[in-house]
Amino acid sequence: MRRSTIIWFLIATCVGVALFLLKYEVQNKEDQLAALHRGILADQEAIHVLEAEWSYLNRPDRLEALVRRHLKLVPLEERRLGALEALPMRMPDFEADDTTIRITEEQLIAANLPPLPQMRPRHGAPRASGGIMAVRSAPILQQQAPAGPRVSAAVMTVGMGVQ
Amino acid sequence: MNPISRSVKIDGVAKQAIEIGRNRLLVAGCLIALGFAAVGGRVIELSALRDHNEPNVASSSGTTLTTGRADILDRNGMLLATSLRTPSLYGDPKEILDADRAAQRLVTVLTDLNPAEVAAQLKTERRFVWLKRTLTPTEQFEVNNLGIPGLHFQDEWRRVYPQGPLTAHAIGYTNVDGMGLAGLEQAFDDVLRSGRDPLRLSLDLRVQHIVREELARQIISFEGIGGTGVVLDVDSGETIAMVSLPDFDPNGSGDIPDEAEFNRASLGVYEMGSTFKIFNTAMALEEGTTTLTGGYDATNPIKISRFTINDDHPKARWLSTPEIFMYSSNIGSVKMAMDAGTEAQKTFMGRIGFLGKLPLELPERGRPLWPGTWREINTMTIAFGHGISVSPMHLASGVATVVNGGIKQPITLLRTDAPGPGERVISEQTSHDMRRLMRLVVLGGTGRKSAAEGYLIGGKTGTAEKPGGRGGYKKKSLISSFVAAFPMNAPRYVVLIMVDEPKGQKHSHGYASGGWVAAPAVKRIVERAAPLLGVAAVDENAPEIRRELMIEVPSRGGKRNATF
Repeated sequence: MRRSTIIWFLIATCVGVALFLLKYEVQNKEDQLAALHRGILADQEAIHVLEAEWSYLNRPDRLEALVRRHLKLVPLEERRLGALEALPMRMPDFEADDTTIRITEEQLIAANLPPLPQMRPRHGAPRASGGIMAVRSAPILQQQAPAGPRVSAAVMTVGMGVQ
Repeated sequence: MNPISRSVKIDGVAKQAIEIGRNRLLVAGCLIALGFAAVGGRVIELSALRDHNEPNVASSSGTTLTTGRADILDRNGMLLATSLRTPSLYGDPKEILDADRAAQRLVTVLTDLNPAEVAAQLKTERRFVWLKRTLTPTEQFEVNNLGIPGLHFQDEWRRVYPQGPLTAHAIGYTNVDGMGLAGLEQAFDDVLRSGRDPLRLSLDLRVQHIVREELARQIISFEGIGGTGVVLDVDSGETIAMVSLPDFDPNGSGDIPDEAEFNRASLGVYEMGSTFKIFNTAMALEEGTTTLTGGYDATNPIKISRFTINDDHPKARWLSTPEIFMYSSNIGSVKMAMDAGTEAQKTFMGRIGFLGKLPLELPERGRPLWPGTWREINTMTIAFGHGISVSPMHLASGVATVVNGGIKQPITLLRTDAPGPGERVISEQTSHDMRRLMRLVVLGGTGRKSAAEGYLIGGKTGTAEKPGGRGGYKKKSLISSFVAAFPMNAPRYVVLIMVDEPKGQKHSHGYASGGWVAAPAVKRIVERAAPLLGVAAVDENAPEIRRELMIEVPSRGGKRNATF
């Protein structure tokens, strides 16, 4: 009888202590949670303010003034745009033979490109190797290559498309 | 002791009393046992059996920011209106020690306050007086630095418009308590208050800016008193840009002048002039009383009662329907309308939506003005856009209907991803004819200054005299407009520019007509905005485009051919 009383007393004490500790643990967690919630709210409000500021800084008239001051961009002109189909056919392999590649004026007009600066005709120039061919066609390639990225960059920036 | 003598035998009254006590004890014990069993059962049920009802994660309620009023975004998600938390300063007169001294010191920081007024407020018997609403963080810091007891701050949500005056007329503004007073802020007041999801508009900020800039340039250059610019999506009825100048900054706390607050695009109604020939011609073609190969004699002015209807650019000969439209002949248009008849005109104007308010979300919508009794003289003047007043948004919406294949879409300021089926007003064929006629105006008629290379603009100019005092018209007060659509082979957008009271300038040789004032602005707007709107420039001389927009301009009687 006495032994069981002691055991019950011990159990009750242990449970009491455990409950006490658990309660404080839960209270701590609650505090932590509340602090996290406060932090999240504060961050959300900060983001909210920053969004407003972002919109304010992205005013089209301000962007336009900045572009005008700092960048060498001009509004896109219609003649700078071309369709992929309008480009001339791809050059055949120069190493294969000495096929003469000529971009005709008609093709240039079709591709919406300004006419090439004409090379002065040189008589008696070596025409055997493909190297000359490459030199001959180089201006065209250089003319076309940057057209793509430059045009798209202009579209994006001139359009003030900052989102 | 004798065992028998030890057992006490109780009889009679005593025995009865003990029996009763025992029974009561038993009943009470049972009840208590039941109670404990119930509590134990409930404990087991809650802790062991019902635990799935407890959420496994902490609730996230209270972790979303509520500003009390939802944001407004443009179609690309750019913030147009939002609410920010700002401190407001109030005083508690009971806590103030020396009101005069406190007021004197306070105005050294908040310079826009009046020291006498502040002192008077701080001497009242109340416990709460507003001193200044919505302070900046710097002002709050400085007020705190003064260390005056009895001054306190209270956080309030303040409506902020980061884009300033750019979308002022569409969005409107709220009062200091966050109540919508104009524009969409007023129309969607309940939605914005209760909802957390932002309101997404159909406006495109970039196009809005381009329209505003080009419109302002024309108003300044022609010394106009105001103007409006509208860009509509032809198929969905979405408003891409809506500008009315002069405008105002909705962030400003001061009073907005009436002139600036007036929304010319949707609230103002004007006699639009020749741009109405679009609807007059469409009606005549739809009725079948006029064909593209037909025409009318425009040699002599029409005289009716005390009025004379004449042409601005008289050709004084027979004109075909395309020529009447191209040269904007009043005489030809009047004859066209008379052939179709008064009833047909009135029905057509009603179906295209010119006899009622627009289905736009704004509270500021103008009611069109039209003759109560629609007489013959009204039919005549309405043929060239006088005698009926509609808002510029009406006009743009009507043009969208005419060019998009004949389907009327209700115009909207909200982004719509799936527009409704709409309502057919004119046939596909009439719409195609009108597209070709409008293209003709830009190629060889009054709208040549709007020809943006590659974008196939088609449109119609309008130069209307404003009504003067006694039923007459003021020769010098004009409404010059140009309404266009592009690209004309498959229209995507309608652009309308209207300038109020432009004056003829040296650089325009004294002209202030729609072709001189509004058409160049439309050209620049299309050139700048088309790449943003995803409209690619095309080769105007491509055979399929020429075939699509080709139109024959007949002539008669050995007169010269129309050349352009």
